[in-house]
Amino acid sequence: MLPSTLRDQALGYALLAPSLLLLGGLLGWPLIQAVLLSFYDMHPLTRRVIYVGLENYTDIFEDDMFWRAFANNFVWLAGSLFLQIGGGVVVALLLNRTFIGRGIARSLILFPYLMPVLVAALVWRWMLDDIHGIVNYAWIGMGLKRIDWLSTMPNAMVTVIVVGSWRVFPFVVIAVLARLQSIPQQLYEAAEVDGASRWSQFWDVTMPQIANVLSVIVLLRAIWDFREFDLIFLMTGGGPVIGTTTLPLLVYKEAFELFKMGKALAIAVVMMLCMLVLIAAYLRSVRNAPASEEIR
Amino acid sequence: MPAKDIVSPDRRSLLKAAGAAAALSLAGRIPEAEAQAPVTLRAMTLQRAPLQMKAYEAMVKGFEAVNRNIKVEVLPVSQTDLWPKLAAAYAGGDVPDLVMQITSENAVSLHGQGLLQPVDDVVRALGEADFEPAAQNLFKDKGSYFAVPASNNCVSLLWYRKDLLGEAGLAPPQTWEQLVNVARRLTKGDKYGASMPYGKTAMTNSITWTLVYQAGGRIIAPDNSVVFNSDATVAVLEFLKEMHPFMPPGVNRYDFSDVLNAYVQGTSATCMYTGRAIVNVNNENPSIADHISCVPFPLRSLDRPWWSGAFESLIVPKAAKNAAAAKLFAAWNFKLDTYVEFINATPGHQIPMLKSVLASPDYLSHPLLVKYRKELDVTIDTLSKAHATAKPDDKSPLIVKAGEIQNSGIFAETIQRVVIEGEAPRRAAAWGQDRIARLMRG
Amino acid sequence: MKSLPMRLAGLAATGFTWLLVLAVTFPLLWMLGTAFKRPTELFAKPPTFFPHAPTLQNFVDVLEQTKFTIYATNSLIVATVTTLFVLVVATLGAHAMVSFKLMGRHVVARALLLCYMLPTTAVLIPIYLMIAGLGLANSLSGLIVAYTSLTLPFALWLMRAFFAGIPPEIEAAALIDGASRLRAFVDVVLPQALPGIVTTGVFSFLICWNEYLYSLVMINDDRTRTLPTGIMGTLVNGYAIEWGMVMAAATMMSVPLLLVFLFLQRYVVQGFGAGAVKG
Repeated sequence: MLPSTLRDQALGYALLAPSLLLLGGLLGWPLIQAVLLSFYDMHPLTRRVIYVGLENYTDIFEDDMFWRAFANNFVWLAGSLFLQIGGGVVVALLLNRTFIGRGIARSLILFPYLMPVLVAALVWRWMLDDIHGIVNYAWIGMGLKRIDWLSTMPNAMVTVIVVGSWRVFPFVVIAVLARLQSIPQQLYEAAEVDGASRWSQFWDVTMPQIANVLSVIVLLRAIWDFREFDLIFLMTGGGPVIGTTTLPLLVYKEAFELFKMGKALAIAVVMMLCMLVLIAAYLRSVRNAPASEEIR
Repeated sequence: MPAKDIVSPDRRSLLKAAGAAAALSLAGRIPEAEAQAPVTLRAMTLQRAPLQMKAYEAMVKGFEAVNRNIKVEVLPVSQTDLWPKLAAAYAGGDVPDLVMQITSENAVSLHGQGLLQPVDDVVRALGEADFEPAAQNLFKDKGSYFAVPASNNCVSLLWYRKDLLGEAGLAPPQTWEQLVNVARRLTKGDKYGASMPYGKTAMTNSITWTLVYQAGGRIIAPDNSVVFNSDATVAVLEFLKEMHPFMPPGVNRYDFSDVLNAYVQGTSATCMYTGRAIVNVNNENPSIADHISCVPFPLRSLDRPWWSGAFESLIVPKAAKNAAAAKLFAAWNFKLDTYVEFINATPGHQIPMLKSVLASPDYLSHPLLVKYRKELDVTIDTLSKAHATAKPDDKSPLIVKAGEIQNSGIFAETIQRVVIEGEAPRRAAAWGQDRIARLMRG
Repeated sequence: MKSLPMRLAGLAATGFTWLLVLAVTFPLLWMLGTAFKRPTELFAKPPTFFPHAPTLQNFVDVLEQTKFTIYATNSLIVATVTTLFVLVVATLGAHAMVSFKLMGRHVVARALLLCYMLPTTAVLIPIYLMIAGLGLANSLSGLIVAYTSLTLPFALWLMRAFFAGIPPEIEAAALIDGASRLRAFVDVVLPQALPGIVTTGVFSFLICWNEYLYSLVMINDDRTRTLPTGIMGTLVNGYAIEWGMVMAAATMMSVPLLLVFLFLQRYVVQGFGAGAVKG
């Protein structure tokens, strides 16, 4: 670390000032406002604002819709994490082998992540179209019964989880792949000499090496997926009934469809508290990961 | 400045004379101060098909040529987005000056919140007596108009395929029972008997009123209590459940466009829709153009007729920054040539609410209206008996939270609980009742 | 020399890999195929993969019947301006956080992380109220402000990781040679950080290009709408979904971007590996 003088401090803060001001103004202040306003009843049309104390909070805790959305949020989170991490690791392992066209395959696998959310949602909605969709065509072609992919439960939830995971799993692939490439080849050679099978090589050599990175990825993805709005909203709008309504969608619905801004903000605050737990876990896990010293 | 000076009282000249002279006299009445400062008028509209937008362009061009200080921006918004958009606009103090073609539930709700300016001057300038009585009755509250009736459309129609019903030896249904039978008989393989909305969508929410009223129920009683949980609602839920197997597979997500598309593309033999079916069939699937017709939407029981009209209107929010200009443009909406161009951008869908236009050859001479005169007459006749959902009969008071109820999605969720999740209709109705009651309290 | 079963297993694994890769990219290909099909072929049974009679009609229709070019221009403006602005601010900020031993930098880092992970929906309403209060509702400037709030924490976070990866000795050497801190930053640190800056730029552009919720809530005017809400509003929530046109619009919205990213792939991958995971 460089020597630090008073002048340096001043210069440093000057450089940091724009960032701090913008973060404070555009996130810090709104965040405080969000918390404050969650104690008010706010009607957007009449702009009537009444202090109601904890009423918004008691209201949401008594509301079965809130608990359903809460549960949905965790189903969505667990399903997405399982699929994208599982799929991501498998694909990373496959792409780590030497094979024909590996470079191209590694590029192609990135596409879903780089596709705009809207485009991804629309393409899937078209592929899953009830009558003309290619998915149902193939499905029926296999002799199976026509399926409503997006408008019955639990299909809708499964479908958004699959599409959501499809969209983000390249992130897992690339991150894991980077780690895989840094595992010393000697470890495998040593295991081979010991007569370890491929399977036990994976568990005894690969897994310990990527465990740290994986735990960081899992939490990072958990934090991001927990707050996902766009994809679910564009795919199902939260339906059928409230089958795929997660907390962010409930916030939107309360605020802009039911005009209960205060209640919406109370839900948002609860959501943030949940995320704080995830963030705390993330910090701990990063602290334990030796590869990421600088995080502290 | 007194509002009544804004619009020329000479309605005839406004309607009849397409020339600039009349319009100039209209402009001449704007107070000087108003005329000097250039104004940008922000007019939201809910009718936004490409041809309708073209008609607006012509309307705006004519208006701007006469009112050189006013620039008009037409802001198209979908029925689904309207409520979130208004919420955002109001919360942010960025309220449109004029909202065009807003459906009656929403207009009534905004009025109920005290958010609208009276528009008596505009209505009087256009000639109060020329408006359909139902429209006068609906939009006049405590002696004052809160909205200018613009045009109507009738979603309480059942479009059917003459060829398919004929082959099966079926008559167009008049009752729900007959409709179930028709739908059942015409469902075969990839062809379905009917198309109605079951999605968490604007259309599902808007037609629920109609069905409940047809079943003899109410959602809000005249004393403002919530009476959604009734035998009538249960009957509606049972009816929708019975019809569900005869709908295309994706129907659980259907909104306006999907319901109509299924019919237009020949997937369903009937559909509940407005006269927009005419133009869509002729544009997109002319092969069935000679086989389409409509009847008033079947009733639960013939002795209890009830049909709904959208009763679209023009409203000027209290928070509008350019109310005077908004009223001028609201009146300009009815200038005969561009009004007819707008109405007939979707011939048979938009029906004028001015008697003089309804009888005018300018309106009736559109080739599609000539070709489908019988269907047009059914539509007009049904509308003449129709009511707005926010005022189910002439004597009932306005349901001042109609818009909130409709846009809350409670109706659609109640239906989906029964049809998709298999909940008992009675329980779902009780759930809906509870939700609506919460909404009324808030 | 590997045994025959081993080689067969290898071949099978390669085949399986390619099958997976193709399955993953299938939606992209299906979008392209649909965009070039005529309406009649769209609903053909069995469906065709390659259009029999490819047509550009869908693209022409999108460009002529909708305000696609306006939406695209708006998206481009908003994404570019936000990205450039955020890059400048975040580069300075990240440099300050990493190579100046600032008092309270740990607090700043924590706060930053919190901002980075905040759910958009939570601050949507206050941010919207603030932007409207500034008179920026319904304008591209308003969106730029909103998108700055979305991308700045992310950009700072990513950049911080990149700057941390630059050996401090490089700057120290420049300082010993008599360069001022600013000069050392411009001449020595910046070039080193360039890949990180490009990566950050790519991702913040992507975030702005993609964003749906703010644009939905804030923009009413058809002339200031961005691509996601514009396409949704005119082609999807319309009166008839014409999938050919929708896929043509989707193609125009995504393919140029994908090509650029393919070109910048190295940076994209770096973003995944370095910044996002470690940071």
